[in-house]
Amino acid sequence: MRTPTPCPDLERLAALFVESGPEHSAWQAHQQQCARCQQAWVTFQELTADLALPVDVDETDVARAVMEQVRRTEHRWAAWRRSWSAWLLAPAAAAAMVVISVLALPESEMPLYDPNTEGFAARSGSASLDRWVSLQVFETHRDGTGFERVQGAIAADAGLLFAFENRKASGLGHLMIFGVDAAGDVFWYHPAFTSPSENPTSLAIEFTQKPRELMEAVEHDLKPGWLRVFGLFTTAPMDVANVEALVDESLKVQPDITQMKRIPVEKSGQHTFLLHVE
Amino acid sequence: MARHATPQHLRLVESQPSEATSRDETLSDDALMVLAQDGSHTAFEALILRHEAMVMGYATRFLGDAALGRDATQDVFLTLWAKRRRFRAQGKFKSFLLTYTHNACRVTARRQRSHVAKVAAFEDEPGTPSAVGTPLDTMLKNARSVRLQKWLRRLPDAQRQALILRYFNDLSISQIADITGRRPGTVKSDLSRGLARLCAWASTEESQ
Repeated sequence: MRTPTPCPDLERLAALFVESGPEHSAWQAHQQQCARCQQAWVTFQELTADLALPVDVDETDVARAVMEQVRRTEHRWAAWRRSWSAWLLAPAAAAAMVVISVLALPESEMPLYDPNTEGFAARSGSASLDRWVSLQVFETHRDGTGFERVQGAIAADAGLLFAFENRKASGLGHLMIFGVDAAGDVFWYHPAFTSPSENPTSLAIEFTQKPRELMEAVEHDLKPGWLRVFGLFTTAPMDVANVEALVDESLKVQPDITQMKRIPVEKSGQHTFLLHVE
Repeated sequence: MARHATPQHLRLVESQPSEATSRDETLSDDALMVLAQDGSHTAFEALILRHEAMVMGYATRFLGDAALGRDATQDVFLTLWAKRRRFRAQGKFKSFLLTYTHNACRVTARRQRSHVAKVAAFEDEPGTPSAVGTPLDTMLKNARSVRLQKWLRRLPDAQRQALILRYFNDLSISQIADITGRRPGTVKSDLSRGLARLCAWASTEESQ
């Protein structure tokens, strides 16, 4: 270590203050005898203490303003995609179709786009049936007195309830709900069954404009980590074994379930979201 | 191969849903960001609520103006949402967020540079944003703190950023280097030069 010279310039002294390293102690003796360096050191301490003081800010409504902008942008994007799809089908009739779809379609036949629906994201054109279906998940209270909407995290032994929406435009009359964890294990919620040898099929469901609850709570021993939940809406019933084989295929293509978005089922509507098991 | 698990328990539930209470408070930043990547507005909003004070504090310190700080904060989170797919869960969300904050403040500062310089030159001129009843001034009651904010605005961007990240955000040299894209040695230089200037101005003012 180079022997420091007395009374370094201010920048050198500041560098020693910033580093507060071994050289610092080497300057202690000098500072005890040098009023200038002492004063500078005190000033550094005051300045950095003042820098560290909290700044009182008014963050009221920042989150609300940001989320409003996010939803507005996504809504405009979804509306643009709907109009873009119409133009592709028949250019000559596209203008009329856009007007009809935006202005004249009854609300019950409008594609589902509720920004508040947990996990909903605008889908690509190749999965157009997705926009007519949705899934919500609820976690039951431990004392069985009720249930509450899940936001993103669930307990490992949570009893889960689901509600679905299935607009008539989907043409889909069957539903399966299952979760896939990071290990590739599939946890069945609907159809729910307790015997491993069973191979049940999809639930038959009606069309509904409002969320319809499936009032059967299902509990699994989930492992902490990510769980990808799928609501699989199909035209014809599927069985558990068939779907699990398709899950296998999907995992080979995309082993990271946080990135997995669909199961390769033709003519299906799918609503998927991630949950974090605590 | 996918293995299926049979449920432990099935029961009928007939009661009504209660008010949603969120477990999201227990989720890590990385987990919330992964949920946001999956499209969850709730998770993203939870991230904003968790970090908006930190972002706004930095932006207000850097820009020296509460309104600009608030605007920059909104820009930061809107950019974060737009570019959420770039995030990789590596336990460094705060650094990731501060990088966006740093960039947003630099852009805002560049836009406001002539205005900021004018404000810095006219210390107590009536009508300058920082002199007349802004929330920042309300809070910075201590005269020393008011002077500090004025001096900060006079520093070059890199030195101002380094000092705020080091002493306000309490980050290490290597974390600051990650965020700013500057080498650790350069960050140390920025800190020491910035601190030396502040000290010189403080000494000059005290001797007057």
